[in-house]
Amino acid sequence: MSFQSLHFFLFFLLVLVLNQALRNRFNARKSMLLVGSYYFYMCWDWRFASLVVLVTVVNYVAGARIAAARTPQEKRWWLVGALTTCLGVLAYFKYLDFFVSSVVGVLAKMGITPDVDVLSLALPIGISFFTFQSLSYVLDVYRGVEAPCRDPRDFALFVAFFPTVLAGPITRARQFLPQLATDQKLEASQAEIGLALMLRGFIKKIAFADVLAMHLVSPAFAEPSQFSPLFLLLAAYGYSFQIYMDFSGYTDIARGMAKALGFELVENFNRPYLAHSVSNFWQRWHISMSSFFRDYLFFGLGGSKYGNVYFNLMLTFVAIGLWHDAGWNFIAYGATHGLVVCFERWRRNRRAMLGQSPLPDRGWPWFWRVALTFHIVALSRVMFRAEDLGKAADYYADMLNFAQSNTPLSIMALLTLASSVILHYLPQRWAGRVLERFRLLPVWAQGAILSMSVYGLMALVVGKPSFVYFGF
Amino acid sequence: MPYRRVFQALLCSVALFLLVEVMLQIRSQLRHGQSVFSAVAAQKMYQADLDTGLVLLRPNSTFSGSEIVIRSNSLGLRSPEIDVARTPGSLRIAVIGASTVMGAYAASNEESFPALMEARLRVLYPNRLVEVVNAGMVGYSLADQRRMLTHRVTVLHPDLVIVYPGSNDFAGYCREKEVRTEPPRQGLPTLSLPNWLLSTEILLKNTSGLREVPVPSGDVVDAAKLDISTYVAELEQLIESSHKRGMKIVLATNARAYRRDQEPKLQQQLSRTARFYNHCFSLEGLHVLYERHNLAIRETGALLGVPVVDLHNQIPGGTRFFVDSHHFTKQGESVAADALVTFLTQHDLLGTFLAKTAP
Repeated sequence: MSFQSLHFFLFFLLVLVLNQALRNRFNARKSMLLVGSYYFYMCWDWRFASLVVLVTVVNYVAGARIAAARTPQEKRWWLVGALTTCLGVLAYFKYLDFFVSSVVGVLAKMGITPDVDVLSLALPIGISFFTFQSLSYVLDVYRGVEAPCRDPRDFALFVAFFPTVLAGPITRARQFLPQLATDQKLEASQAEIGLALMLRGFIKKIAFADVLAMHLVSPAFAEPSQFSPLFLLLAAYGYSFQIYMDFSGYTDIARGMAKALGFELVENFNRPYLAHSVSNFWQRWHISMSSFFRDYLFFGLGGSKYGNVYFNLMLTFVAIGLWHDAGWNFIAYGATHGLVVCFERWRRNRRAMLGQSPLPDRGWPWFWRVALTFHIVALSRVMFRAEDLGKAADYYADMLNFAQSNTPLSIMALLTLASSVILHYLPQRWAGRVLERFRLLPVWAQGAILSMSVYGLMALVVGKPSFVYFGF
Repeated sequence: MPYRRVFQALLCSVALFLLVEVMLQIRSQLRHGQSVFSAVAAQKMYQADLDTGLVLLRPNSTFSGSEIVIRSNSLGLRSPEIDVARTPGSLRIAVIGASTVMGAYAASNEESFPALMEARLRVLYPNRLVEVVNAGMVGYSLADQRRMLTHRVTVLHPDLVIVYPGSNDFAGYCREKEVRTEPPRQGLPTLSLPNWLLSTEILLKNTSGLREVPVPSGDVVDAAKLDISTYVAELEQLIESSHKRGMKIVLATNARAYRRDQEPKLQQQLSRTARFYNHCFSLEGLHVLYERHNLAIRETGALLGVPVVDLHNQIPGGTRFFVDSHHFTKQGESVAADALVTFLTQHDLLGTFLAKTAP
């Protein structure tokens, strides 16, 4: 069930109507949302709903057992059991083929050709999101920062909640379960803001992300050798804005749906291309995922207090790269960011040791740091977008081929790229004001804006609609 | 009620959609005599023939709009009534194809090119009963045309069958590509927008420029490398079917409005509907696609000894001869009829029948 479909519109409308009808019966509302969430997931692939059930049951039972455990050893065994099951499921569906083909490749270079086939398994949609979301619960219970959930329905809804199950935001149990424990009153203003957020998300996705992909990014990455370095550089910039508009658009839709249903989800983005360092970028980009890795992996490894902080950082960033997808290009992407973050930390420590003041947060020095960070991110994303490391290397090489002068930039591509840049750098309070203005409009005007937007967006849709992060 | 305003806004939005759609359906009913109202009133223009599975016109009906009137015969074809039993000494030709043959934009049956051919042949052979059966039907692929030949045309015992294949098979390449690139998911059944919605169709047709890709990308099918062997096989089967039934066959290449020698902007404009129906091809890709398929028609004809009328080269492109990318204007229908009649007479394709059945 694509978000940009009649089916989704009718599904969401029905859920909204039932949510309204059951507003005074919170338990029935939660049951309805759970059934709706499983139906939503099964519209994508009914076979993998069993995985959602498995992950839910394992983590629910593990959470309860950890809380009831009498010895630290017992607690640890239950944690290991939950981690092994969830990460095992993830590894089997997402990483097994990559591992097998990598080993076969290495053996082939040594002259050994084993008769092993890759499984070519279908990737269950949202697997990286719902496994991590439920693991955060078990880890928090283990650390004693979260009480075990007593209501299996609440926990099942936390894992399968349809606005987040496909691509996050990875919501922590302590952010969401309390909302299920107390009756969430429906407020008109929240519902209207939710609707406006969804509309903003669709506009970001269809009018910006998809247009940039079609007019600039896809042609450049399909045949980089056909284009000039300028076109390839603009396509790399374009991809950064495409993926931002795509994923933040999805997040707006997810947050808008949840808000309209009476729930709050975490912010996932904070104008990431205003980051003045790569470390700062990861505090602004896909915040729910980067904070997960910070809290559960980086701190788990010892953070900056125990062990070698640079090793811990590198391992965390390689894991972040690999979380996105199985491939050497994703490992290289994570490692590149890890190296830059290590360098930034070393420089900061050194300045502190030498008694120098921290780098300024305003003026030209700040501007250059923002520009440099954006370029590091945009150029490293070539590895993220390319099919494999070899293709990424070709793209980089073609960016230096100044003999090629073909720069077929369409007005549409330039306008969309420029608008994306402007919209990204506009103060956030302006976006808030637009949402508030929309909320205050008469209903007929809201209806007219919705219709016009849908017509406008339909005119731009090409092919089967999907979001980049649905592939992770 | 917390959601009151949200529901009201959604309701307003849906009401606006419905209003636009109803207006467009009324316009379609007035212009073409067909709309969703006809379907509701069980007065649909097309229906599946229970015996053959072929989608045909509702038999013995008249579909009147302000611009187009379509009259169907008892066989569900846009043709005059045809007696299955042949009149001795008559000449009967059947033209098989898709919407271009049926005359999607021909104001009346008499303005479609098969009917114009009949009129011209009757002038040329005043002492004969000449019948040209219009066996073209909207949306037909080559496979459908073969079924039309075996199930509907054969019983009419035509002396000659002319096949103008049209371009409906091309859309299949885009569908194949979608199936290939789709992840192997098994979801529950989902609803999609009904295909009779005119608001979406008109919107998409008139905004194809917004979705025009300046350069080919990975999302566009490379027409030069496309495997067209299935099309060729279909064509061969069609010819073999006609030969088996003792019917002489003539093939025609597909003409199109947009040509390489036109200004790029004009090509873009004229290829709009072609790009709408074959969205996985760029303009250049469509040129290549047409050229490759026309070449396949010529080569298959040469291989199997079937004469080929090169309509592509005989009907110039442009708005004078084409309403959209493929369908003929009144003048286009006329030129097509002239070209076919000239070809048949110059190549003496009718001589055998005329001599055989001379009174």
